[in-house]
Amino acid sequence: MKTATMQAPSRTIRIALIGNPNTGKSTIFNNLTGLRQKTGNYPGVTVSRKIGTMKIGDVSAELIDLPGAYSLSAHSPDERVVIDVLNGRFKEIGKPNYVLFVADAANLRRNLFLASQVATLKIPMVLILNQWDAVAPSGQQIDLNLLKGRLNIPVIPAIGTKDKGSTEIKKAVESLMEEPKFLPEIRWPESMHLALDHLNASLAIEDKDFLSDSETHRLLFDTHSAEIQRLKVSPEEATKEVSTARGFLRKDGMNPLVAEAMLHYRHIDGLIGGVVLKDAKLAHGATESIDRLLLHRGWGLAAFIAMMYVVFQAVYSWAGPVMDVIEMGKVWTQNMTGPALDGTPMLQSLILDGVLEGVGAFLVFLPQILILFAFISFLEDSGYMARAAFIMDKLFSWCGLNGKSFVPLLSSYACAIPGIMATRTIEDPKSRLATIFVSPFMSCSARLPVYILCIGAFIEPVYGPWWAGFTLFMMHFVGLAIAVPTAWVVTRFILKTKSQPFVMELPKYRTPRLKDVGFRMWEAGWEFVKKAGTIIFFITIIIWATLYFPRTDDQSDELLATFVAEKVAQKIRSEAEIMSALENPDSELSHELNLLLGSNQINQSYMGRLGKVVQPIFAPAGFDWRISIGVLASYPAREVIISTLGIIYSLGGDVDEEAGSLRDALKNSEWQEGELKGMPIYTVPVVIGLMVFFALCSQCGATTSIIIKEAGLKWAVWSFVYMTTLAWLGAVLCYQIGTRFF
Amino acid sequence: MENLLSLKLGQLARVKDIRTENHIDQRILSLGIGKDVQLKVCKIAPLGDPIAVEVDGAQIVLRKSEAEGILVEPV
Repeated sequence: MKTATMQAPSRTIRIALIGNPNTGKSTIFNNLTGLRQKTGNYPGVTVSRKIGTMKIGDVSAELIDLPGAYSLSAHSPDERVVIDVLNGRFKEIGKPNYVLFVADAANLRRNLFLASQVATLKIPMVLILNQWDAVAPSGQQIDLNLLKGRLNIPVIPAIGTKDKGSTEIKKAVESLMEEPKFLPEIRWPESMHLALDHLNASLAIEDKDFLSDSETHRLLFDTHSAEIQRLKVSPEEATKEVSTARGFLRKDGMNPLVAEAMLHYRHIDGLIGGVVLKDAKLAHGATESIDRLLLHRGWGLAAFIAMMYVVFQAVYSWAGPVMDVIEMGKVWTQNMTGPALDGTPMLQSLILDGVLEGVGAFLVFLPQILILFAFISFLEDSGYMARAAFIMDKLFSWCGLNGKSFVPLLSSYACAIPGIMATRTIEDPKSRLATIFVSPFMSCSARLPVYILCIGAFIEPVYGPWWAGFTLFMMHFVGLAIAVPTAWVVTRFILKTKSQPFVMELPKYRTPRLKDVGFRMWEAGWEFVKKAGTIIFFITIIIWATLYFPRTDDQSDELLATFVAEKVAQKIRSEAEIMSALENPDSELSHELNLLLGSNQINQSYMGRLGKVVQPIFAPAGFDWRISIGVLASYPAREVIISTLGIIYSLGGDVDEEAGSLRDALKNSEWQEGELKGMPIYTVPVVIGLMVFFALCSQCGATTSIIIKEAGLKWAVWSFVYMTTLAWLGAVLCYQIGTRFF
Repeated sequence: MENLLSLKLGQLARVKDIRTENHIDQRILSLGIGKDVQLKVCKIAPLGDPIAVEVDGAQIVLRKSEAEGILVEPV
């Protein structure tokens, strides 16, 4: 019988992976879990959550990759998540059963500060000494046996980038499951016990489910601890009791605000005394030599600009061939499915002109996303990203941002959503809000389709590849040029709180591992593809429907008659000749008639009518009603304009499936009425204006929602109004000034 | 007493006191810069600010305005 052989439900354990930033934590995470990863958000906050699964013996384990932190004292939302997860504050994750603590082996003392704080949570721990191969080159020696004896927990030297140590780490967790072991806890002085007892009694936190020891420590030591919100008493009363408790420390001759670090470091020095041997002269080697060049006054700046330029050139030019392949795949699918649907014209149009055209036009940009994320991951993993922040801080600080704004802003070049999420590493709330506000100005990858299309169709063929690359570079610069003064105004006149410090670590240079770069690309690419299957798919169908209905088939006989009468009137051919030419679907006349029927359909469709209503608003920018529709339809997401234009031109019959591309359709499109009749719609000023519009506009529902989440509704509304106004102004200026020169 | 900014590039010094605002104290301390710790200024950003100090083999970036509050004694 089956039930007899059924296994007992296997046990699941939760393991938290924790450590300072730049310790190679993600590398260890990737090694342990492989592709078995799930990403998402922590409920209520938008700190990104990464949970992977792995097998330890026959036990399945959930590994929670916590954000890098230097201390449990939470200065930023990222750090807040660390202490909250460790205390089991997120119900659906639950309190971890074990802690894997990843330390940078070459910087043991500093790394153990956080470990010593974590030890107060009384969770069995494994200490991973990562980047073990960097210990000797840094002029240090670690007496591993002595350390193991002192710490009383499994200590595993590891080299994450070479996948060394993974087996030992799993074995260490297995040994903890048999016999839990704890990092020796700090022994507090008597005054500290008095202070804690006072807090426990006065704030009714004896009930340990209410506030853990580690949380009570935060209350006592931190200036503005968020733990105060968990108390049942009012913040005023709590502040009073905390200050009484701090009195015990003061009486003992300690400054309460620095006492914690002092005591923990004293504890650590006791634990690792004699463990780390240092050469009198610290060897630095490669990192110092590289920095002498990359942080050099002249060369360093030049290298920085060159590197950013290479990134954008690569994103533009390397992706080309792959994009062609995707484009071909789309056309092939259309040709294959088309005949099968001949009997049902509406379904045929929905699939070919709607879904395949719209989603295909979106998916074409996948290669670019992948290339950009490859670069971001490479720069981060190599250690250069921190240098970039170091170099850029001065430029950012005058306008109220700081060097740490650089990473969110650079990430925003890929997508404002991870960028805005990355602002959580900025402790200073003022810099953080300003960074959030200007992040959407960075030229995200969703704008790239618009740039690529416009540049590829109108700049490159006329002015050559050099100007094409330059235009792309400049488009990425426009947003930045607007963002900097915006940040200045925001931090100077709108947010009037005091600025906070800029403190961070410069990690040693490391060779990034392709596997980790691959993981980042896979993650970003998958997010993008998921978007294609959901929001883009959905919008595509709506846009198709508003263009497909109401049908004008009943007018086709009438149009045919007019068409034939016109041709006869031109006296080139007889009516019989015309009719026989129309029998042949490949004839020039048939093609002309189809164009007429198609554009009549678009003209009369719901979307066409709407486009003509709003077109006057965009007329000063030289946009026709089709571009206006594209602008409207792309409010949920910028890249939708591409699929919208694709559908418009495809439904309109302008796109010749053999020649295949939207690019040619745009080149051939002309004004059909008004004083510009017969002139091309897409002139250089219109094209530049269109790109500037998309560079500055707020066409992204996801960004708006993330701003609401991170900064509140007020900021989101401001951001939307401000960006939309600037976008319109930018496009109008380009057109009005541009038409005087071109 | 001298502060960090009066040190020459690469000159070794010992921290005597930290007189910055409270939350900065905590941040700097968690990065290992505390009383009696030995450090040196190891890098200056290409634009002149911020600077990086080396402590315990790690390099920590500080703005000049914050480095001013770290009082040191050359060793």
